Amino acid sequence: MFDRSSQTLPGTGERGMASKRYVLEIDGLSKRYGRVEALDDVSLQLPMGEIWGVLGPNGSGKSTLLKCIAGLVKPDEGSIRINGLSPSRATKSVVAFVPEINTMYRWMTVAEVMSFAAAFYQDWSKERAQELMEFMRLEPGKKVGSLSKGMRARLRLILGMARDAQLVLLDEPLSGIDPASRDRIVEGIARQFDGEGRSIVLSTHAVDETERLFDTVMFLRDGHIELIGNAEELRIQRGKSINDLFKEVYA
Amino acid sequence: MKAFGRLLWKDLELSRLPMLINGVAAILWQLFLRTRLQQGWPAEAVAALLFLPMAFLPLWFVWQTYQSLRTEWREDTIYTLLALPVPGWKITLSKLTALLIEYTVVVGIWALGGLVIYWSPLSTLVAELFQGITLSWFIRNGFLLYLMSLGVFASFIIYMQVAYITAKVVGRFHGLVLLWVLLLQGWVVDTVGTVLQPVFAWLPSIPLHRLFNLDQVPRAFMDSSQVLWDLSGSIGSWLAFAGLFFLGAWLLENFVEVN
Repeated sequence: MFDRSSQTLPGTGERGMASKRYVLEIDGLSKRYGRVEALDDVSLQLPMGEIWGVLGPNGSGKSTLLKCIAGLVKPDEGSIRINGLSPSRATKSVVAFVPEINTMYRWMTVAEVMSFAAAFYQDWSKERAQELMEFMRLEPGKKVGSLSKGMRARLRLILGMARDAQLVLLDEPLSGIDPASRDRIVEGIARQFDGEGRSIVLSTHAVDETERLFDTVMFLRDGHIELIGNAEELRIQRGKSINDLFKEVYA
Repeated sequence: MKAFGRLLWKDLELSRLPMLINGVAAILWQLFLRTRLQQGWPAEAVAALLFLPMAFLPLWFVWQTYQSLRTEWREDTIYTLLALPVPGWKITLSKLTALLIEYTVVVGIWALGGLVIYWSPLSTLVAELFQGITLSWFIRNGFLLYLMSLGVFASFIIYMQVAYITAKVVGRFHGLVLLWVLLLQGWVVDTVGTVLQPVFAWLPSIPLHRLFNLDQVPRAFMDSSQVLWDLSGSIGSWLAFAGLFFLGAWLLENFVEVN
């Protein structure tokens, strides 16, 4: 087990502190479902331009955390600030939430899904959506209902990444996806992230394939933060990969 | 406007199949009754049975409203809806509008189908029984009745929307909460209408007999030549409906959670 207090909290250390702007600030966030503590006193500060990995096994609170940030679940306690604002209609226009499950209308074609999303988001980039669609090898005329699980995951990623959203929340983007689609998705995230004006929070337990993306990793267990730190510093300090660290933490 | 247009397009797509089924069912029902009429069924019975589908429409649209919202949860598309940076009223209004369009299409098919299929007996009936009344009088008044019924249907849809959303906010005992909120809303609308009635007492009554040109109807069919609509009792209820509509939208935007 690791002591959270011994870690340098990303965004609070000396490295680049003066110039850091936080796109997301969470303080004392808690959420309960009946007697189950889904999130327990979670606090963090996410600087602009970083990719964070929220790691943990099933039921550790990853999805609940992302849903709270997206404004789809209301916290019981604590505060969430996105560019200084609580989750609301205003923050939804700068946050792109990519859920784990298919949430698009099954009768829509891929092209219709794109134009549906484009109608609501001013930061939608038609060119980027087109480029991603080609990269992900999605056919515009295919109906969502006829797409494979992997193809639907690719489509969801496009919906999140085709926007110039300041904060992109990717909830288990690789869950239950075939290896070919997993590689495409990870590559798609890496290609689209330029580190400027955008931050990504990616929840996953597929650490092996995603760890190269992360600037910072946060390990969740039973709703509370078990360990948080700069990915590179953790690798050096512990002398192992994040994937091995993940196995150790949740052994 | 573009966002609302997309929401409406999406909701209309979901209404397409019910529209088709109801439209075809209405025509088949009319054709069936036409054959019965030719076989000697009494014209009064056929006329009454012709209106039978209309009697089920309010219930059908309450069910459709329930389905329209339930589908969003069942298919997980509620994630998409709630993540959109649009006010809740646009989401509920697009559903309301789509259902009213669906109602219009079904009623339109029923009315047009009726006119075409029963043209010959209708012309005879009008000529024999309602001397002096033109067919255009029926069409005009039918259209006015349709406009009034839009308000009634909108109120049913709002009732169900608010009840469903409230039940989702509560999260437990879904059916019970839904039923209870439906009943409570009826009481609220009635009470607000009664309480505000004196406030709007200065409003003139609407002479429905003039609006519907009832002076053309033969005395044998009408007891009174004057039909007045006291608006003062209705305005409060309309305001209550508007309040309920925005309450539902506010709850949807601010309190509803995904699973």
